[in-house]
Amino acid sequence: MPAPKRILIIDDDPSITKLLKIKLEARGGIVTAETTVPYQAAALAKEFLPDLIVCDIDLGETDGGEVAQKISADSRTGSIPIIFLSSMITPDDMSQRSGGRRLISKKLPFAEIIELIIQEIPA
Amino acid sequence: MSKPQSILIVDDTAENLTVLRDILAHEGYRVRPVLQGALALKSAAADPPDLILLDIMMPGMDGYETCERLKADEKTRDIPVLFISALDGTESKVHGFEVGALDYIIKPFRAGEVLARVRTHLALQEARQRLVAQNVELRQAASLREDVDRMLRHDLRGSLAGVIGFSELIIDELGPENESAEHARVIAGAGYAMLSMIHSSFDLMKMERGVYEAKAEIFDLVEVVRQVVSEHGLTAEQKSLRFRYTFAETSDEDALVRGERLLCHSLFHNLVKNAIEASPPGRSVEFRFGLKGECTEISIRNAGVVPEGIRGRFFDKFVTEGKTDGTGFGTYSARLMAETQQGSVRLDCSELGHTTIFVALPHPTPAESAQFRTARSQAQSDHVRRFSSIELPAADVLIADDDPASRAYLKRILPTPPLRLSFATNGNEALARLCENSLAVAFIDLEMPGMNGVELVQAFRAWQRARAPGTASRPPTPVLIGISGHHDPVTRERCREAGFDRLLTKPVAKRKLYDELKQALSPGSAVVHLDPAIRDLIPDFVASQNALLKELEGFVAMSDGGRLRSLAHRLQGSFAMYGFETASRLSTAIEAAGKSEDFRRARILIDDLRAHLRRLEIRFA
Repeated sequence: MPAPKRILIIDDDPSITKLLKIKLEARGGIVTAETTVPYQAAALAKEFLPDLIVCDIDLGETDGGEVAQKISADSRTGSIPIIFLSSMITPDDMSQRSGGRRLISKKLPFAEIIELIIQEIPA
Repeated sequence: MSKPQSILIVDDTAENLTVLRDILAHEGYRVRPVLQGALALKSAAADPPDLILLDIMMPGMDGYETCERLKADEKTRDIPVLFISALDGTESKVHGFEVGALDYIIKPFRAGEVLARVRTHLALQEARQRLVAQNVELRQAASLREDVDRMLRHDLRGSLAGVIGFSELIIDELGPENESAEHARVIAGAGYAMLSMIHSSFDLMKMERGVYEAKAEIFDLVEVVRQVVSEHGLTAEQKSLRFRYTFAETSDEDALVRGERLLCHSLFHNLVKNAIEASPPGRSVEFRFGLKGECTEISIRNAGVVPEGIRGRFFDKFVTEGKTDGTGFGTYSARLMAETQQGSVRLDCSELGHTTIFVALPHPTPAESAQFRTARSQAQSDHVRRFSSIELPAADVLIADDDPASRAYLKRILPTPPLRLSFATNGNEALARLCENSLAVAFIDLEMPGMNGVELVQAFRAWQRARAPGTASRPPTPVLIGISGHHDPVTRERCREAGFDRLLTKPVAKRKLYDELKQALSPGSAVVHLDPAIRDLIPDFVASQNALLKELEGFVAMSDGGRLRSLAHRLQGSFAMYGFETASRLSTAIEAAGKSEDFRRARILIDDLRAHLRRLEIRFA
């Protein structure tokens, strides 16, 4: 059996991190770590070494772009793909990329969001 | 003479006591001599004297301490204490006053001085006690009067709701062209006029004191003015007066304002009455609607002339001239009512042979105006259809109201079938019906005798909780709709806390009632289907969202549009992801209200969101 894929979820709303965790892990073969505290995200990434990071954009005291930059700047976590998941992204925005990163709108039906995240997990 | 007044004298020297006792007893006072401070305390507490004469230098407890203790005891604190001492330094006197004495007599004393001071202080004490007693009486009388006012006002309102409601119903059924409908219009008009009187007699005092809370709603002044004019139809007909309406700068032929509709009704009732009385026969009274700055302005022009002498005081209290039945109250209360709604009134006599009165009232924002007009045209097209044909599902509806006229009114306008109505005339009956658990909607009068509406709903919600402990949201039915003569924030808050879903104010317009029913009975609106996988998350989620709603309310109270918007945005996102579509939509609307800093609307939406969550039935499928 292959090792489970690891996903790190960064969102300042705990109701969202819990929901994503439950729905992603329900797919099987996935484990998640999650944080609602943005400045802990980079440290958690180094420790957890996920295969994929899902990050909100509006994180209250900081924004997702800064968190992503910090993670990418570190040699141990620099190659991990990061997806932005935010309600600031409209479904129309999703064709674009931000700093080479995939954009997903929170306004999509939830099942679709989960599918799109799964698709982004590197093989 | 009544019972002799008693005086306690405290001195450690027996001779002093004897001399003082002789002086005072000779004047008819009942005297109690005591040799020690501690004994004085006991004696005073056991049978409080009318006055105490107190020596300062005594072995054991001295006069200062004795006085302090007397002042510390509830039973003895109000007894006047006079020091009588050989210490005549300023410091001693000041200290004496500091510990609570009213006067200071220096030894050796003269009989005349002691008597004069004792007499003075006893008289003062008596006067003080009389004032206290009168104050208590006045307060009781005031509270009684307020109670009577409130009851009268509520009962009157309730009965008038019946008068107006039934009359309008008749007009509706007969059609506007029918002659009997015209009579019904007169009856409705009389009802409205009485509502005006309630306003002027009971609410005016509140407005004068600046404590009246106007209910802010958006409405069309043109409708109000037409209604008022129709109420004066007979007088106008007798004088062969014509009424003309013109509109400036607006193609909508309306004059939207933000204010209290019934208050405006009273306001224009007074001004139109004046205009009709002042106008010579055969002339016309003109109403012109327009905009002026932040306000909607309406002018009332008639061909009468205000006597020069009272022009400057036209809107003052009790100013009247040339009218035998005038109280001088009409224009004054009109001004007060306008100002209570952040508006103004002014008089213009510059045009020869004419008098024009301008009333300015705040107009709503463009968005609110647009919303109002959309709703109105929708309502008008709805109105074309007969009420009986409005599609309501079959449902059991309870009407709990002690007022027969109110019950009859609801019975008349609610279509049966499809509805099945039942009635309760008091709280206990209503509670029994509610607990039978077959009702879809209950209309509950707040002011029933015995168990009132609020207590009833508290009791019923408690019963529901006891039956289904641990459920995150309460069952969606029955929807509990309160009906009250009051619309103040305190009443609204009390209703919300008790567990009402909605609150309507009397008199309840038919259209409003239908809207409420439709909303309450619309299938599926209060059921949400969620993913069974997230079942365990839901209780926490609902609790945390409710906590965030509380925060939202805080931001509304602080008028903090920025944080309101950002938190509403977050709520919108999480509700949507969990599958709460309606809640998410409402959150989006709150976000928009935050953006435009419309806190009134935000508050309403938050209330709606709360009510929605309360009513929501969650199913997992």
